[in-house]
Parts: sequence; structure tokens; C-alpha cells
Amino acid sequence: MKKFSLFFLIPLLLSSCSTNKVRISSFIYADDDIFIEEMSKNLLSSFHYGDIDYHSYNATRSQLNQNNQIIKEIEDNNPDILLVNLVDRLASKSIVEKAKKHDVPIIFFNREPLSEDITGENNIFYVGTDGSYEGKAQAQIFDSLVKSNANSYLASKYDKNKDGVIQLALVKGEQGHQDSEQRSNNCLLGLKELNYDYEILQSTFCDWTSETSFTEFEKIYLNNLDENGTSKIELVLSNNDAMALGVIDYLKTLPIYNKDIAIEDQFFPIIGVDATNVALKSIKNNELSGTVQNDYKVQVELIYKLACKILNIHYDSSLEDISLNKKIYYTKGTIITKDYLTK
Amino acid sequence: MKKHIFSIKTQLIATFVPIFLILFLAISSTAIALYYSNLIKYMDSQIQGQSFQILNNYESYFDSVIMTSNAIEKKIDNIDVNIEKVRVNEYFDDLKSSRQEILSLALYDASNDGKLLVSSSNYEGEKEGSIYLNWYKSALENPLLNNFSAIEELDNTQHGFILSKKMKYSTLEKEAILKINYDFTKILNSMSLTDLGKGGHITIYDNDYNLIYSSNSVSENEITVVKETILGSKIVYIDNISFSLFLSTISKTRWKLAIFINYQNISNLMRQYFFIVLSVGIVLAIVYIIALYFMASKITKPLKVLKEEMSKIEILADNKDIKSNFNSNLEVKELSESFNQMQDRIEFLTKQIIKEEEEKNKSELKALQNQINPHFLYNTLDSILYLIERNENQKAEQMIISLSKFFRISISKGQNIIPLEKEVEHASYYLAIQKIRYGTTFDYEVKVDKDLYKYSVIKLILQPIVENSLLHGLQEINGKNDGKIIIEAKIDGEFLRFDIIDNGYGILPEKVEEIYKNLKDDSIKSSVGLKNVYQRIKIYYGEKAELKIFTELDKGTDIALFLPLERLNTDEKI
Repeated sequence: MKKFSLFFLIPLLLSSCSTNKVRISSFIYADDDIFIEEMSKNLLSSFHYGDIDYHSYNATRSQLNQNNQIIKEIEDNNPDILLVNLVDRLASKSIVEKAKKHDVPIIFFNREPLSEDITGENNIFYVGTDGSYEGKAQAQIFDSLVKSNANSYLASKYDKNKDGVIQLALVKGEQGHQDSEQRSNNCLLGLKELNYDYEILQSTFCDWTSETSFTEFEKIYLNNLDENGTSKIELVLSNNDAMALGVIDYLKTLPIYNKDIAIEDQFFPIIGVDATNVALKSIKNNELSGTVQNDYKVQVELIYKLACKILNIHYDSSLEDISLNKKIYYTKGTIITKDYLTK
Repeated sequence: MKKHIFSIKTQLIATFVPIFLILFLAISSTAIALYYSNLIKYMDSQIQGQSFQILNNYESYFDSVIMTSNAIEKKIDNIDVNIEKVRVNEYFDDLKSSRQEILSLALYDASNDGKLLVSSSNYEGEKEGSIYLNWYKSALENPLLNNFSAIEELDNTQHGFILSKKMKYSTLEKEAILKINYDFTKILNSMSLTDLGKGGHITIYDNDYNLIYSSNSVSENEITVVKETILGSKIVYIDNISFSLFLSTISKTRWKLAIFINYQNISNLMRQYFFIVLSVGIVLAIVYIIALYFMASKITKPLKVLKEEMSKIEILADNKDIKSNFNSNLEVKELSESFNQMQDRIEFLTKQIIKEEEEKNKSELKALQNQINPHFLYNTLDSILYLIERNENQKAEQMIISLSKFFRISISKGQNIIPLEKEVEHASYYLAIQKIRYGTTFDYEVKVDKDLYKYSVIKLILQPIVENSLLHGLQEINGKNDGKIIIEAKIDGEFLRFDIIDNGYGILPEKVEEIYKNLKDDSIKSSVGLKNVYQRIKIYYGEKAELKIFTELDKGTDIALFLPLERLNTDEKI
């Protein structure tokens, strides 16, 4: 009888040992988005602790996949907190409902749920970037470019057709994505506030990826050539660096491309957002004119601190500054141009 | 604990029935489990596939709806709608005719009182002010999104929804709300063609579980179940029928799709299968047990018969062989053959032993008997001759008569067992002969009760002893005149006792010992007469038979024969 009861005791003991670990699961919408990919890697190293059981799932751009991943995680694995990067922003309500039913807190990040779906919910948080700020920062970058060249736009080298109006192309991330909309709207608003006149030659959605922007921009470029075959475009504003780099990649394929001349001089300035490593390199190489840091490192740190505060682990004096009453967190990044990098 | 021995039948049944049951249980439960899991897997993958397909169809549909909205947004980007009403109206009409599901399109002012700016030609407008309507309000609240709202008045055959979006026109100076009325019906009807099983249906809910559309009537049960599930795939019960519920958000709308596919089939199938397996199992079990019972009987019956036959057998009886023609199995047949062989062997051996014994006895007896006769014959004939020579013819005649009677009894027609009377007479004739020879030197007397005449004894046991007594007991016959020999026979306890008493000089104790020793010793051949008698009574009457010598010096000797009564033949008639 003794041997028998021991036989059952040991696994019980062992299982109780393993439940001391905190289970944290993150769900990203896709892994071919460079920004998200880097953020995900950062999350992994941030949560790399012995007392944390961290898992990451990739939804491959399907909300259905993500729903299934989240449901499976909640029902089978008893997670302590979920970090969710939604595929479809509009799908948040059901996820919040499900998590609420099982008492699991969620920190949404980078892709913001509708405010009506998350306000009033006690255990739901959002960490993201301030799209409006970024948009305006993009305008500022352009402004400083112009101002470092001449007194007014008309007088600057950037106004190719000398009409005092910026003929611009807008490369957007995604229909309905809050960052996309905010950056798009606010870079234009910012330009306006800085007293620029602009004309949108064309705008397109490129899924945040270089590949798509490469192919889409070709159409825009070829569609906006003047009688001499030069591009009418005077400025390209991109919702993110990846798409901006896609544009640059396209320009490099043109026969007139000269690698010794800065892109903004042979073609037009291109301004992105994110400040990914590739983008910084591109700035150094005089290809990308500027970017705004979407400081995922700061966001990741914020997510980590918020998670620790919610789960009551890894106590640190800095956690005192975080109040769980604040649900929405926006980070603001630095403007990065060549000057900034050479400082 | 007393160990109970069970019959073969019981043992067989007790062993093989449990084995069968265990085997059957193992196989059938494995079969059922495998079948079930495979069935479930197959059904689930089918259902998943179907559900994905349906969801994809809806999402594609809504994608195209959104694309229309985006196209419109792009189009009016540079147009001042207020001024170019005709152009926009034509554009809307084109759109409407190119897409069958569009019922109407309209643009409302996003500010002020939300008045209608421009629409497609058939548009009838709203009954109340737009700013109070859901589609208008949600478009204002979510300026980045395409909003989907249910059409509030619906008849049962027509389903539709409204797409509304806030958009900028006139190069972003002004804002309007786009409203497109869509007819859902065709799409829904085509989707309903997929077979979802009996009672299977599709329902669309909005984020607050208000019903947008259902291809079937929706029971209270269903809404509870949907609210309970929230998202994902699950097996649910509605009105006691099981369904596979697939619940998902529809991308870019804020709606949820619920697909109910009849799952009852599986439970029914499983139950059917289970009952089939169970019935087959029960039938098999019954058949098996009956077969086992018969098998067991078949095995044990021959053994039983064999047992009975064996117990009837007496070895050496005439019908000793076991009949091997009853219905038996190979082992029992071999067993009974072996048994018969054993019987034969025993019989043979027994007969051999008996024969040998008989032979032994016969030869011994013969040998012993042969020792007695010649000696006396010679002497008597000499005596007769002597008497005849002396002209004592009367005595010669008596002697001849006695001799002839003596030999007649000696031979006794070849019989070994003769009436006691005859044996006594035999000894008497001998004495008569000897008396004639030796005259009045001795006398004799026979004291035998007539009651004892019913017994029969082996012949030639008294005469040798009498001869012995005459020769040794009354040695100096010539010298002694009052020699007497008495022959007595009586019952002494368990024995018939013969006493041959003489009144001679007696025997020295050492001599008695020697005589006893010689009697028992096979290799010594002296005292032929006594030894012969001793050996013969031992052979014939067994170890209990005895020869005892009672002697007193100068007084006399009594040689006694003890024959166990139980071994004597009797003739009750005498």
C-alpha cells in the first residue's frame, strides 16, 4: 500500500513544481513583417527567465489562425497573460470576451483594437506607437530637409516643377490599421501645419512589406512621368521603412540610377517610420532620407514591465511608476536623419 | 486450505471463457476506439474544411465590398461632391448596375445635420434624420473603418446590410459618410447550398450577439450556446441534437459567423457500430460457450466411460478387455489399448507365476513322494519271501494283502489329498506289515475319532513318521518286548493334530535340536522321512503347519503334526 501511494505522490509533487512557472504567450500577426519580427525577437529575450514559460505563435496573416491559436492556448495551457498582435483589429471583441471568461489578462500591441472594445475592461491593455506623432514627425523631417536647402519650398531643389506644391505619393501600410491611417493623415496634416501645399498624385496600400511596395511603386512611378520621362513625384511618404526600402529597391533597378548620388537628389526624398536597422543603414548610404523611430525596444520594455506588474513577478522599483489604471500606452520615437546619425 | 479438484469440464470452461471474454473485450474496444477516433478525425477534418470554405467565401465577399468602398473613397478624393453631383450620381449608378448585390449608394454630410449630398438614382432615402441612425453614428465613431450594420426592416426572404464609411472629398477639405445598401440574399442562398446536414445552418451575429442573418430559425438554445462558446470549434447540443459549431469573426467586419453542422450522425453511427459490435460479441460468446461446453463434454465423456469400464474389470475374468469401440478420442483410445495390454501382461505374468508355483509344487511333491516308496517295498517283499520259504503262508497272505492295500492308498488313483481315514489306514497297514515281520516285539494302537473323518489331508504323512519311530524309537526291537506305538488324531485349537507316540528311549536334547535344524535345512539330506513330511506339510499347508518333537529320555517320544484347520479340505457329508 505504501509503495502504491508513493507511486502517485511523485508525479503530483513534480507537477506542482512545474506550475510555479508563469506562462506567457505572444501571438504575432505575421513573421514577414520586419518590424514585428524584430519586436518578437526582442520580446523573446525580454521574457527569457527561468520562472517564465514563454511561447510565441505566428498567425500568418489569418485571423482565423490566430483565433484558433488563442483558444487552444486558453483552453489547454492555462496561460497567465496573453500578448496579442491582432491580424484583424476588428476581431478584438471576441478575444477579449474569451479571455475575460477565463480570467486571463491581455496586452494588445502594435495593432490597436477599437477603443470601444477595450475601454472599461479591467484586464485589457494596449501598448503601441503614437501614429499621429509619427506622421507629424515625418512632416518635420521633410521640413528640415527643405529648410536646410532653401528658404521656401519653391526655392528648394525638391520642387521639381516649381509650382510651390509638393507632388507626393503616399505609400500606406494597411486599410483600417490605426498606425497606417494616423501616420498617413498626420503626415499630411503636419505638412499643412507647416504651411506646405501638397497634391497627392497617388496613394497605395502595400501591406507593410518591401516586396509589395516594390511592385506597387513601379506602377505609381511609371504612371507619373512627365514628357521628358522624369518622375513628377517630389516626395514619397511611407507608413513604414520596409515599404520605403521597397521603393528604393525599385529605383535602383532604373537605368538612370546612379549609386554615387543620393536618392533624394536624383529622384526625391523618401521618408519612412520605424528606424529598423536596415533603414538606418540605408540612411547612412544616402538612400532613405529619414525615419521616425518606432521604438519597439521601448515598447517591449513597457510590455515586460506591464506584464510583471499585472502578474506580480520580478519586482523592481520602476514598477512603482506603473499604474494598472492606465490601459493605453503610446511611445514616441526620435526623428532620425543622416545628421542625427553622424552626430 | 483444502485444495479442491475440479473436473476437466469445469477447468476448461473456467480457463477459456475468461480468455475469450478478455480477448473479445480487448479487440472490440480497440476496434471501437480506433473506429471512433478515425471517424471523429475524418468528420472533424471534413467539418473544418467546410467551415473554412464557408468563412473564406464570406470574407471574400466582404473584401470585395470593402474594395468597392475604397474605390469610391479614392474616386471622390479629388471631387467636390457638392458641385459635381451629376458626375457622382452617374458613377454611383454605374457601380450599382455593375454589381448586382448593391441596392443603393448615397453620400451624406458628415457634419451639420447629416443631409444627403448625392446618391444613386433609385435611392429612396431614410425615413428619419440620418444622424440618428446606427450606420451614421458608427461611421462617425470609427472614421478609419468600413462599418457594417444590419438593415433593420427585413422580411424573411430578403437579407441585407449597410456599409458606411467616413471619407474625405474635395482634396480632404470636406467629410462625408458613404452609405451603401447591400442585398445579402443571393450570396447567402448560394452558400446555403452546402450540405450542413439535418438542422445544419449558418448564422451571422454582430459583436453584441444581435442576429444579422440565419439560414434557419434560431432557437434560444443557440444564442446561449454561441455566447458560451465565443470563438472556436466545439460540439454543442441544440434541442438534443449534436452539432459541430464553428464560430469565427469575419475579417474586417465586426460580425461573427456561426456554422452549425449536424454532428448527430456521428453519435448515431457510433451507437450503431457499438450495438453491432456488442450484439456480434454476445452471439459469439454464446456460440463459443456452447461450443466449449460440447467440446469439454466430448473430451470428458470417453474418460468417464473408460473409468466405468475399468472399474467393471476383474483381472483374469473372461471379458476383461475394455471395449474400445465407444465414441472416444485418440488419447482415450490409446489409453484403453494400453490398459488392455497391461491387463494381458498381468494375466500372463500371474498365470506364469501360478504355473511355476504349481510346477514347483508338483515337482517337489513328486520328488518327495518318490523318496518314500522303494525302501519299504523291497523289505516287505523280502519278508514275504522269507515267510513263504518258512511255509508261514497265512502270515504271508496277510502281509501281501496289507501291502497291496498299503500301495493302493499310496497311489490313491493319483490324488494327493485323501480322506483322513485312509491316511490313518495307510499308517495302520504299514504297522500291520511291520508287526508281522517283527512279531510280538511291539504293539500298536490307533486312536482317531470318527468325527475327524470328514477331513482330507495330503497322503503319506503319517507312515514316514511311524517308520521313523519304529526304526529309531524302538531300536532294539529284538531286545525289547513292550514297545508300543500309538497313532492319535485330534483337534488342537486351530490345528488338526496327529501324534505318533512311542515308548522308546527318547531323544537327547542335542539330537532334537539337530533334527529341527535338519528339517529346516534344504541342503542336508538325512532324516529323509521326517524331513519329507515336514517339507510337504509346509508346501501344502503353509508356514503355520508344524512338526514338533516331544521327548522324555527313557520314557518315550511324541512326534506331533500340526495342520491348520483352515487349510484342510472337508467333506461335510461324512
